[in-house]
Amino acid sequence: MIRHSLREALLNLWRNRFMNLVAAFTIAVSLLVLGLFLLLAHNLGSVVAEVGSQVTVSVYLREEATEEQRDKLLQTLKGRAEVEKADYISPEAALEKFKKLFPAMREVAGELEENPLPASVEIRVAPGHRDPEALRSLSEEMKRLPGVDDADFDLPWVSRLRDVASMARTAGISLGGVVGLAAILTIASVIRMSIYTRQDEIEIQRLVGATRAYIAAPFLLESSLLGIVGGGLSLTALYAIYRRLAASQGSVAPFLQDLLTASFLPRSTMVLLLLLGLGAGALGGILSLRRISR
Amino acid sequence: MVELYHVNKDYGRAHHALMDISLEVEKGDFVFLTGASGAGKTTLLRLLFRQELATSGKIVVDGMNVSTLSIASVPRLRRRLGVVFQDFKLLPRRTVFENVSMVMEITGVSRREQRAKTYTVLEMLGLNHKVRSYPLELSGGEQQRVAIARALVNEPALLLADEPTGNLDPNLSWEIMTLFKTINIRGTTVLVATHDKDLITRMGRKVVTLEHGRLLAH
Repeated sequence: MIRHSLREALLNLWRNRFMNLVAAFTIAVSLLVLGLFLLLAHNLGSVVAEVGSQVTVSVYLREEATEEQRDKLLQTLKGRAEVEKADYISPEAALEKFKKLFPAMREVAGELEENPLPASVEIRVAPGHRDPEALRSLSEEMKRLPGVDDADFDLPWVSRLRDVASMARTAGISLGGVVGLAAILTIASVIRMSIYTRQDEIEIQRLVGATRAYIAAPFLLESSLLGIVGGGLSLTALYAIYRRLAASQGSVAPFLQDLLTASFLPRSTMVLLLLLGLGAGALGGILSLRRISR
Repeated sequence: MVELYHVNKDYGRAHHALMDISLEVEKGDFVFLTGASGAGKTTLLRLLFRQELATSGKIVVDGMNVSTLSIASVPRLRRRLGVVFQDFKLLPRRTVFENVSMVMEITGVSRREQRAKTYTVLEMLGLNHKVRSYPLELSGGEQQRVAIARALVNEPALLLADEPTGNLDPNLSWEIMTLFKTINIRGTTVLVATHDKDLITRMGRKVVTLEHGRLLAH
Protein backbone atom coordinates (compact mmCIF):
# COMPACT_ATOMS: atom_id res chain seq x y z
CA MET A 1 0.00 0.00 0.00
CA ILE A 2 2.88 2.34 0.79
CA ARG A 3 4.38 1.73 -2.60
CA HIS A 4 1.10 2.51 -4.30
CA SER A 5 0.59 5.69 -2.28
CA LEU A 6 4.13 6.77 -3.01
CA ARG A 7 3.62 6.26 -6.71
CA GLU A 8 0.37 8.22 -6.56
CA ALA A 9 2.04 11.03 -4.65
CA LEU A 10 4.97 11.31 -7.05
CA LEU A 11 2.61 11.26 -10.02
CA ASN A 12 0.51 14.05 -8.58
CA LEU A 13 3.56 16.09 -7.68
CA TRP A 14 4.76 15.83 -11.22
CA ARG A 15 1.38 16.68 -12.73
CA ASN A 16 1.28 20.01 -10.93
CA ARG A 17 4.99 20.54 -10.84
CA PHE A 18 4.99 24.33 -11.21
CA MET A 19 2.66 24.95 -8.31
CA ASN A 20 4.45 22.39 -6.20
CA LEU A 21 7.81 23.95 -6.90
CA VAL A 22 6.47 27.27 -5.67
CA ALA A 23 5.26 25.63 -2.49
CA ALA A 24 8.60 23.90 -1.97
CA PHE A 25 10.31 27.25 -2.44
CA THR A 26 8.29 28.88 0.29
CA ILE A 27 9.38 26.20 2.72
CA ALA A 28 12.93 26.55 1.43
CA VAL A 29 12.91 30.27 2.13
CA SER A 30 11.77 29.91 5.70
CA LEU A 31 14.29 27.15 6.33
CA LEU A 32 16.98 29.27 4.71
CA VAL A 33 16.22 32.12 7.09
CA LEU A 34 16.39 29.75 10.01
CA GLY A 35 19.47 28.10 8.59
CA LEU A 36 21.39 31.35 8.22
CA PHE A 37 20.80 32.24 11.82
CA LEU A 38 21.67 28.75 12.92
CA LEU A 39 24.86 28.95 10.91
CA LEU A 40 25.75 32.19 12.62
CA ALA A 41 24.91 30.77 16.02
CA HIS A 42 26.88 27.63 15.30
CA ASN A 43 30.02 29.45 14.32
CA LEU A 44 29.74 31.89 17.17
CA GLY A 45 29.28 28.96 19.44
CA SER A 46 32.48 27.32 18.21
CA VAL A 47 34.45 30.49 18.79
CA VAL A 48 33.01 30.86 22.22
CA ALA A 49 33.72 27.27 23.07
CA GLU A 50 37.26 27.51 21.90
CA VAL A 51 38.21 30.77 23.44
CA GLY A 52 36.32 31.15 26.61
CA SER A 53 34.63 28.92 29.01
CA GLN A 54 33.25 29.13 32.40
CA VAL A 55 36.24 27.32 33.60
CA THR A 56 38.88 29.83 32.66
CA VAL A 57 40.27 32.72 34.52
CA SER A 58 42.59 34.85 32.47
CA VAL A 59 45.23 36.81 34.30
CA TYR A 60 46.81 39.61 32.26
CA LEU A 61 50.33 40.57 33.20
CA ARG A 62 51.72 44.05 33.23
CA GLU A 63 54.13 44.93 30.51
CA GLU A 64 56.87 45.49 33.04
CA ALA A 65 56.27 42.30 34.95
CA THR A 66 59.50 40.45 35.60
CA GLU A 67 60.21 36.82 34.96
CA GLU A 68 60.55 36.33 38.66
CA GLN A 69 57.13 37.69 39.31
CA ARG A 70 55.75 35.53 36.58
CA ASP A 71 57.32 32.35 37.93
CA LYS A 72 56.22 33.11 41.44
CA LEU A 73 52.72 33.66 40.22
CA LEU A 74 52.68 30.36 38.42
CA GLN A 75 54.00 28.51 41.41
CA THR A 76 51.47 30.03 43.75
CA LEU A 77 48.73 29.17 41.40
CA LYS A 78 49.74 25.60 40.88
CA GLY A 79 49.57 25.00 44.58
CA ARG A 80 46.01 26.10 44.90
CA ALA A 81 43.05 23.78 45.08
CA GLU A 82 40.94 25.79 42.61
CA VAL A 83 43.57 25.62 39.95
CA GLU A 84 43.62 22.57 37.75
CA LYS A 85 46.09 23.96 35.26
CA ALA A 86 47.90 27.23 34.80
CA ASP A 87 49.52 28.05 31.48
CA TYR A 88 51.67 31.01 30.59
CA ILE A 89 50.90 32.58 27.26
CA SER A 90 53.49 34.93 25.81
CA PRO A 91 52.42 37.95 23.79
CA GLU A 92 53.64 36.23 20.65
CA ALA A 93 51.65 33.11 21.44
CA ALA A 94 48.61 35.25 22.13
CA LEU A 95 48.93 36.93 18.77
CA GLU A 96 49.24 33.56 17.05
CA LYS A 97 46.15 32.36 18.79
CA PHE A 98 44.28 35.43 17.71
CA LYS A 99 45.37 35.03 14.12
CA LYS A 100 44.32 31.41 14.16
CA LEU A 101 40.85 32.22 15.42
CA PHE A 102 40.28 35.03 13.00
CA PRO A 103 42.09 34.22 9.79
CA ALA A 104 40.58 37.14 7.92
CA MET A 105 42.13 39.47 10.45
CA ARG A 106 45.56 38.10 9.77
CA GLU A 107 46.34 40.90 7.39
CA VAL A 108 45.29 43.51 9.88
CA ALA A 109 47.35 41.84 12.57
CA GLY A 110 50.34 41.64 10.25
CA GLU A 111 50.32 45.34 9.65
CA LEU A 112 50.76 46.18 13.30
CA GLU A 113 54.20 47.33 14.33
CA GLU A 114 53.85 46.34 17.93
CA ASN A 115 52.08 43.40 19.38
CA PRO A 116 49.26 44.95 21.37
CA LEU A 117 48.41 41.77 23.20
CA PRO A 118 49.72 41.29 26.74
CA ALA A 119 51.29 38.24 28.28
CA SER A 120 48.81 36.27 30.29
CA VAL A 121 48.33 33.25 32.44
CA GLU A 122 45.39 31.10 31.65
CA ILE A 123 44.02 29.27 34.66
CA ARG A 124 41.87 26.27 34.14
CA VAL A 125 39.64 26.07 37.17
CA ALA A 126 39.22 22.71 38.84
CA PRO A 127 35.80 21.09 38.97
CA GLY A 128 33.96 22.02 42.10
CA HIS A 129 35.08 25.61 41.90
CA ARG A 130 33.45 26.49 38.65
CA ASP A 131 30.53 28.58 39.81
CA PRO A 132 30.47 32.31 38.91
CA GLU A 133 31.05 33.40 42.49
CA ALA A 134 34.16 31.32 42.96
CA LEU A 135 35.51 32.50 39.63
CA ARG A 136 34.81 36.08 40.54
CA SER A 137 36.59 35.87 43.88
CA LEU A 138 39.55 34.08 42.31
CA SER A 139 39.93 36.74 39.65
CA GLU A 140 39.58 39.51 42.22
CA GLU A 141 42.34 37.91 44.21
CA MET A 142 44.55 37.60 41.15
CA LYS A 143 44.15 41.27 40.39
CA ARG A 144 45.87 42.15 43.64
CA LEU A 145 48.99 40.12 43.00
CA PRO A 146 52.21 41.86 41.94
CA GLY A 147 52.83 42.06 38.24
CA VAL A 148 49.22 41.55 37.41
CA ASP A 149 47.44 44.15 35.35
CA ASP A 150 43.98 42.62 35.27
CA ALA A 151 42.16 39.37 35.69
CA ASP A 152 38.90 38.25 34.29
CA PHE A 153 36.95 35.05 34.41
CA ASP A 154 35.54 35.60 31.04
CA LEU A 155 36.79 37.66 28.22
CA PRO A 156 34.24 40.44 27.86
CA TRP A 157 33.79 39.94 24.21
CA VAL A 158 33.34 36.22 24.75
CA SER A 159 30.26 36.69 26.86
CA ARG A 160 29.14 39.22 24.31
CA LEU A 161 29.54 36.63 21.61
CA ARG A 162 27.67 34.09 23.65
CA ASP A 163 24.78 36.51 23.97
CA VAL A 164 24.87 37.28 20.29
CA ALA A 165 24.90 33.57 19.52
CA SER A 166 21.77 32.89 21.56
CA MET A 167 20.14 36.01 20.17
CA ALA A 168 20.90 34.78 16.69
CA ARG A 169 19.41 31.44 17.53
CA THR A 170 16.26 33.00 18.96
CA ALA A 171 15.92 35.44 16.09
CA GLY A 172 16.36 32.61 13.65
CA ILE A 173 13.71 30.51 15.30
CA SER A 174 11.22 33.38 15.51
CA LEU A 175 11.75 34.62 11.99
CA GLY A 176 11.95 31.10 10.67
CA GLY A 177 8.78 30.29 12.58
CA VAL A 178 6.82 33.15 11.11
CA VAL A 179 7.94 32.42 7.59
CA GLY A 180 7.48 28.73 8.29
CA LEU A 181 3.86 29.30 9.19
CA ALA A 182 3.34 31.01 5.87
CA ALA A 183 5.01 28.06 4.19
CA ILE A 184 2.79 25.54 5.98
CA LEU A 185 -0.30 27.44 4.91
CA THR A 186 0.94 27.62 1.34
CA ILE A 187 1.48 23.90 1.24
CA ALA A 188 -1.94 23.36 2.78
CA SER A 189 -3.63 25.34 0.06
CA VAL A 190 -1.61 23.62 -2.67
CA ILE A 191 -2.67 20.25 -1.33
CA ARG A 192 -6.24 21.42 -0.94
CA MET A 193 -6.27 22.38 -4.58
CA SER A 194 -4.81 19.04 -5.44
CA ILE A 195 -7.68 17.42 -3.54
CA TYR A 196 -10.31 19.55 -5.24
CA THR A 197 -9.10 18.67 -8.69
CA ARG A 198 -9.33 15.01 -7.79
CA GLN A 199 -12.69 15.35 -6.06
CA ASP A 200 -14.59 13.15 -8.48
CA GLU A 201 -11.94 10.46 -8.33
CA ILE A 202 -12.01 10.55 -4.56
CA GLU A 203 -15.77 10.17 -4.53
CA ILE A 204 -15.61 7.13 -6.76
CA GLN A 205 -12.90 5.59 -4.62
CA ARG A 206 -15.10 6.12 -1.56
CA LEU A 207 -18.08 4.54 -3.25
CA VAL A 208 -16.20 1.34 -3.98
CA GLY A 209 -15.01 1.07 -0.41
CA ALA A 210 -11.71 2.92 -0.03
CA THR A 211 -11.07 4.04 3.51
CA ARG A 212 -10.23 7.63 4.30
CA ALA A 213 -6.71 6.57 5.19
CA TYR A 214 -6.23 4.95 1.79
CA ILE A 215 -7.37 8.10 0.02
CA ALA A 216 -5.51 10.50 2.29
CA ALA A 217 -2.16 8.71 2.27
CA PRO A 218 -0.97 9.91 -1.15
CA PHE A 219 -1.83 13.49 -0.29
CA LEU A 220 0.00 13.32 2.99
CA LEU A 221 3.00 11.81 1.27
CA GLU A 222 2.76 14.51 -1.36
CA SER A 223 2.93 17.31 1.16
CA SER A 224 5.71 15.67 3.16
CA LEU A 225 7.78 15.19 0.03
CA LEU A 226 7.24 18.85 -0.79
CA GLY A 227 8.58 19.66 2.64
CA ILE A 228 11.68 17.54 2.25
CA VAL A 229 12.36 19.05 -1.16
CA GLY A 230 12.03 22.47 0.43
CA GLY A 231 14.48 21.45 3.11
CA GLY A 232 16.92 20.17 0.53
CA LEU A 233 16.63 23.37 -1.47
CA SER A 234 17.33 25.47 1.61
CA LEU A 235 20.41 23.42 2.49
CA THR A 236 21.72 23.78 -1.04
CA ALA A 237 21.16 27.53 -1.00
CA LEU A 238 22.70 27.78 2.44
CA TYR A 239 25.78 25.91 1.35
CA ALA A 240 26.10 28.06 -1.75
CA ILE A 241 25.94 31.21 0.35
CA TYR A 242 28.43 29.73 2.77
CA ARG A 243 30.93 28.95 0.04
CA ARG A 244 30.46 32.33 -1.53
CA LEU A 245 31.18 34.08 1.76
CA ALA A 246 34.18 31.90 2.53
CA ALA A 247 35.65 32.54 -0.89
CA SER A 248 35.21 36.30 -1.01
CA GLN A 249 38.42 38.02 0.10
CA GLY A 250 37.62 40.12 3.13
CA SER A 251 35.09 42.15 1.25
CA VAL A 252 32.55 42.97 3.91
CA ALA A 253 33.54 43.03 7.55
CA PRO A 254 36.29 40.42 7.84
CA PHE A 255 35.24 39.75 11.36
CA LEU A 256 31.73 38.88 10.29
CA GLN A 257 33.00 36.73 7.48
CA ASP A 258 35.04 34.63 9.86
CA LEU A 259 32.12 34.42 12.15
CA LEU A 260 29.93 32.90 9.50
CA THR A 261 32.38 30.69 7.74
CA ALA A 262 34.50 28.94 10.32
CA SER A 263 32.57 25.82 9.52
CA PHE A 264 29.33 24.75 7.92
CA LEU A 265 26.46 23.36 9.92
CA PRO A 266 27.00 20.10 11.74
CA ARG A 267 25.30 17.08 10.22
CA SER A 268 22.75 16.98 13.01
CA THR A 269 21.56 20.50 12.21
CA MET A 270 21.33 19.68 8.53
CA VAL A 271 19.18 16.67 9.35
CA LEU A 272 17.14 18.90 11.63
CA LEU A 273 16.45 21.32 8.80
CA LEU A 274 15.35 18.48 6.55
CA LEU A 275 13.12 17.09 9.28
CA LEU A 276 11.63 20.51 9.87
CA GLY A 277 10.85 20.69 6.18
CA LEU A 278 9.25 17.28 6.35
CA GLY A 279 7.27 18.31 9.42
CA ALA A 280 6.09 21.52 7.85
CA GLY A 281 4.98 19.64 4.76
CA ALA A 282 3.20 16.99 6.77
CA LEU A 283 1.45 19.65 8.86
CA GLY A 284 0.33 21.43 5.74
CA GLY A 285 -1.06 18.18 4.41
CA ILE A 286 -2.88 17.33 7.63
CA LEU A 287 -4.32 20.82 7.77
CA SER A 288 -5.79 20.57 4.30
CA LEU A 289 -7.10 17.03 4.83
CA ARG A 290 -8.89 18.12 7.95
CA ARG A 291 -10.92 20.64 6.07
CA ILE A 292 -11.92 18.14 3.44
CA SER A 293 -12.87 15.50 5.92
CA ARG A 294 -15.46 13.78 3.76
CA MET B 1 -29.19 -10.38 2.74
CA VAL B 2 -31.09 -7.16 2.19
CA GLU B 3 -33.90 -6.00 4.43
CA LEU B 4 -35.79 -2.75 4.29
CA TYR B 5 -38.39 -1.91 6.92
CA HIS B 6 -40.67 1.03 6.29
CA VAL B 7 -38.01 3.02 4.58
CA ASN B 8 -38.71 6.57 3.47
CA LYS B 9 -36.52 8.91 1.52
CA ASP B 10 -37.45 12.55 1.15
CA TYR B 11 -35.64 15.35 -0.55
CA GLY B 12 -37.01 18.41 1.17
CA ARG B 13 -40.61 18.49 2.31
CA ALA B 14 -42.24 18.21 -1.08
CA HIS B 15 -40.27 15.48 -2.79
CA HIS B 16 -40.91 11.99 -1.50
CA ALA B 17 -38.67 9.72 -3.50
CA LEU B 18 -39.45 6.53 -1.57
CA MET B 19 -42.43 5.90 0.66
CA ASP B 20 -42.86 3.14 3.19
CA ILE B 21 -40.70 0.57 1.43
CA SER B 22 -40.53 -2.80 3.11
CA LEU B 23 -38.66 -5.46 1.22
CA GLU B 24 -36.65 -8.56 1.82
CA VAL B 25 -34.10 -10.13 -0.47
CA GLU B 26 -32.83 -13.46 0.72
CA LYS B 27 -29.29 -14.63 0.37
CA GLY B 28 -28.80 -16.20 -3.04
CA ASP B 29 -31.82 -14.49 -4.58
CA PHE B 30 -31.86 -12.95 -8.01
CA VAL B 31 -34.27 -10.03 -8.00
CA PHE B 32 -35.24 -7.49 -10.63
CA LEU B 33 -36.21 -4.04 -9.46
CA THR B 34 -38.32 -2.39 -12.05
CA GLY B 35 -40.43 0.69 -12.62
CA ALA B 36 -40.64 3.75 -14.83
CA SER B 37 -37.88 6.35 -14.84
CA GLY B 38 -38.06 8.38 -11.70
CA ALA B 39 -39.91 5.66 -9.84
CA GLY B 40 -37.13 5.48 -7.29
CA LYS B 41 -35.05 2.49 -8.38
CA THR B 42 -31.74 4.29 -8.31
CA THR B 43 -32.59 5.98 -5.03
CA LEU B 44 -33.37 2.66 -3.42
CA LEU B 45 -30.11 1.15 -4.58
CA ARG B 46 -28.20 4.19 -3.33
CA LEU B 47 -29.60 3.70 0.13
CA LEU B 48 -28.23 0.19 0.27
CA PHE B 49 -24.60 1.25 0.11
CA ARG B 50 -25.19 4.53 1.81
CA GLN B 51 -24.51 6.87 -1.02
CA GLU B 52 -27.59 8.48 0.51
CA LEU B 53 -29.10 8.13 3.96
CA ALA B 54 -32.70 7.05 4.42
CA THR B 55 -34.94 9.68 5.99
CA SER B 56 -36.55 7.03 8.15
CA GLY B 57 -36.82 3.29 8.42
CA LYS B 58 -34.34 0.50 8.88
CA ILE B 59 -32.03 -0.98 6.28
CA VAL B 60 -29.93 -4.03 6.88
CA VAL B 61 -27.44 -5.22 4.30
CA ASP B 62 -25.39 -8.35 4.86
CA GLY B 63 -26.04 -8.12 8.56
CA MET B 64 -25.02 -4.48 8.86
CA ASN B 65 -27.46 -1.77 9.86
CA VAL B 66 -26.73 0.74 7.16
CA SER B 67 -28.23 3.81 8.80
CA THR B 68 -26.37 3.42 12.06
CA LEU B 69 -23.01 2.55 10.58
CA SER B 70 -20.19 4.80 11.67
CA ILE B 71 -18.41 6.68 8.91
CA ALA B 72 -15.36 4.57 9.52
CA SER B 73 -17.29 1.34 8.93
CA VAL B 74 -18.92 2.37 5.66
CA PRO B 75 -15.94 1.21 3.58
CA ARG B 76 -16.34 -2.20 5.16
CA LEU B 77 -19.92 -2.39 3.92
CA ARG B 78 -19.06 -1.20 0.46
CA ARG B 79 -16.33 -3.75 0.04
CA ARG B 80 -18.81 -6.56 0.47
CA LEU B 81 -20.78 -5.26 -2.46
CA GLY B 82 -20.27 -4.93 -6.15
CA VAL B 83 -22.05 -1.91 -7.54
CA VAL B 84 -22.67 -1.17 -11.20
CA PHE B 85 -23.58 2.49 -11.40
CA GLN B 86 -25.92 3.84 -13.98
CA ASP B 87 -23.36 6.47 -14.93
CA PHE B 88 -20.49 3.95 -14.72
CA LYS B 89 -18.36 6.12 -12.46
CA LEU B 90 -15.07 5.11 -13.99
CA LEU B 91 -11.87 6.94 -13.14
CA PRO B 92 -11.07 8.93 -16.28
CA ARG B 93 -7.34 9.13 -15.63
CA ARG B 94 -6.82 5.43 -15.13
CA THR B 95 -6.70 2.63 -17.65
CA VAL B 96 -9.36 -0.03 -17.90
CA PHE B 97 -7.06 -2.40 -16.04
CA GLU B 98 -6.46 0.07 -13.24
CA ASN B 99 -10.14 0.89 -12.94
CA VAL B 100 -10.95 -2.73 -12.34
CA SER B 101 -7.96 -3.65 -10.19
CA MET B 102 -8.49 -0.62 -8.01
CA VAL B 103 -11.14 -2.31 -5.92
CA MET B 104 -8.66 -5.05 -5.10
CA GLU B 105 -5.88 -2.57 -4.45
CA ILE B 106 -8.13 -1.03 -1.85
CA THR B 107 -8.53 -4.31 -0.01
CA GLY B 108 -4.84 -5.10 -0.12
CA VAL B 109 -4.93 -7.99 -2.54
CA SER B 110 -1.49 -9.01 -3.84
CA ARG B 111 -0.42 -7.62 -7.18
CA ARG B 112 -0.21 -11.04 -8.70
CA GLU B 113 -3.73 -11.95 -7.70
CA GLN B 114 -4.97 -8.56 -8.86
CA ARG B 115 -3.50 -9.14 -12.27
CA ALA B 116 -4.91 -12.62 -12.58
CA LYS B 117 -8.42 -11.74 -11.48
CA THR B 118 -8.57 -8.55 -13.51
CA TYR B 119 -7.55 -10.31 -16.69
CA THR B 120 -10.03 -13.09 -16.01
CA VAL B 121 -13.00 -10.83 -15.52
CA LEU B 122 -12.09 -8.57 -18.42
CA GLU B 123 -11.91 -11.61 -20.63
CA MET B 124 -15.31 -12.72 -19.44
CA LEU B 125 -16.65 -9.40 -20.59
CA GLY B 126 -14.78 -9.39 -23.86
CA LEU B 127 -12.52 -6.49 -22.98
CA ASN B 128 -9.06 -8.02 -22.90
CA HIS B 129 -7.99 -6.07 -25.98
CA LYS B 130 -8.87 -2.80 -24.25
CA VAL B 131 -6.88 -3.37 -21.10
CA ARG B 132 -4.63 -0.37 -21.55
CA SER B 133 -7.25 1.98 -22.92
CA TYR B 134 -8.70 4.89 -21.05
CA PRO B 135 -12.44 5.18 -20.41
CA LEU B 136 -12.82 8.13 -22.71
CA GLU B 137 -11.46 6.06 -25.55
CA LEU B 138 -14.22 3.49 -25.15
CA SER B 139 -17.76 3.33 -26.45
CA GLY B 140 -20.66 3.57 -24.04
CA GLY B 141 -21.17 -0.15 -24.15
CA GLU B 142 -17.52 -0.84 -23.44
CA GLN B 143 -17.51 1.56 -20.53
CA GLN B 144 -20.55 -0.16 -19.16
CA ARG B 145 -18.78 -3.49 -19.35
CA VAL B 146 -15.79 -2.09 -17.51
CA ALA B 147 -18.13 -0.92 -14.78
CA ILE B 148 -19.60 -4.39 -14.60
CA ALA B 149 -16.15 -5.94 -14.52
CA ARG B 150 -15.19 -3.78 -11.60
CA ALA B 151 -18.30 -4.79 -9.71
CA LEU B 152 -17.65 -8.47 -10.27
CA VAL B 153 -13.92 -8.79 -9.84
CA ASN B 154 -13.99 -9.03 -6.08
CA GLU B 155 -16.61 -11.79 -6.10
CA PRO B 156 -18.97 -9.76 -3.93
CA ALA B 157 -21.59 -11.18 -1.62
CA LEU B 158 -24.17 -8.83 -3.11
CA LEU B 159 -24.29 -7.36 -6.59
CA LEU B 160 -26.29 -4.17 -7.12
CA ALA B 161 -26.68 -3.22 -10.73
CA ASP B 162 -28.38 -0.04 -11.94
CA GLU B 163 -29.40 -0.40 -15.59
CA PRO B 164 -26.41 -2.60 -16.41
CA THR B 165 -27.50 -3.26 -19.96
CA GLY B 166 -28.69 0.20 -20.92
CA ASN B 167 -25.96 0.70 -23.52
CA LEU B 168 -25.73 -2.83 -24.76
CA ASP B 169 -27.35 -4.54 -27.73
CA PRO B 170 -29.74 -7.42 -26.98
CA ASN B 171 -27.16 -10.14 -27.52
CA LEU B 172 -24.64 -8.54 -25.25
CA SER B 173 -27.37 -7.80 -22.72
CA TRP B 174 -28.29 -11.43 -22.64
CA GLU B 175 -24.66 -12.41 -22.22
CA ILE B 176 -24.36 -10.11 -19.24
CA MET B 177 -27.47 -11.57 -17.69
CA THR B 178 -26.08 -15.03 -18.19
CA LEU B 179 -22.96 -13.91 -16.44
CA PHE B 180 -25.03 -12.60 -13.58
CA LYS B 181 -26.89 -15.88 -13.46
CA THR B 182 -23.61 -17.72 -13.16
CA ILE B 183 -22.33 -15.71 -10.27
CA ASN B 184 -25.72 -15.98 -8.67
CA ILE B 185 -25.40 -19.74 -8.80
CA ARG B 186 -21.99 -19.40 -7.19
CA GLY B 187 -23.61 -17.65 -4.27
CA THR B 188 -23.79 -13.94 -5.02
CA THR B 189 -27.12 -12.29 -4.30
CA VAL B 190 -28.12 -10.21 -7.29
CA LEU B 191 -30.37 -7.16 -7.41
CA VAL B 192 -30.79 -5.57 -10.80
CA ALA B 193 -32.66 -2.34 -11.47
CA THR B 194 -33.87 -2.16 -15.03
CA HIS B 195 -36.82 -1.22 -17.17
CA ASP B 196 -35.94 -3.66 -19.91
CA LYS B 197 -39.18 -5.68 -19.83
CA ASP B 198 -37.94 -8.20 -22.33
CA LEU B 199 -34.96 -9.15 -20.29
CA ILE B 200 -37.06 -9.51 -17.20
CA THR B 201 -39.51 -11.77 -18.89
CA ARG B 202 -36.81 -13.93 -20.43
CA MET B 203 -34.94 -14.34 -17.16
CA GLY B 204 -38.04 -15.31 -15.25
CA ARG B 205 -36.86 -14.22 -11.85
CA LYS B 206 -38.48 -12.49 -8.92
CA VAL B 207 -39.63 -8.99 -9.77
CA VAL B 208 -40.22 -6.04 -7.49
CA THR B 209 -41.96 -3.02 -8.96
CA LEU B 210 -41.73 0.57 -7.88
CA GLU B 211 -44.24 3.20 -8.88
CA HIS B 212 -43.86 6.80 -7.79
CA GLY B 213 -41.79 5.74 -4.84
CA ARG B 214 -44.03 2.97 -3.62
CA LEU B 215 -43.80 -0.76 -3.92
CA LEU B 216 -46.49 -2.46 -5.90
CA ALA B 217 -47.84 -5.72 -4.64
CA HIS B 218 -46.45 -8.59 -6.72
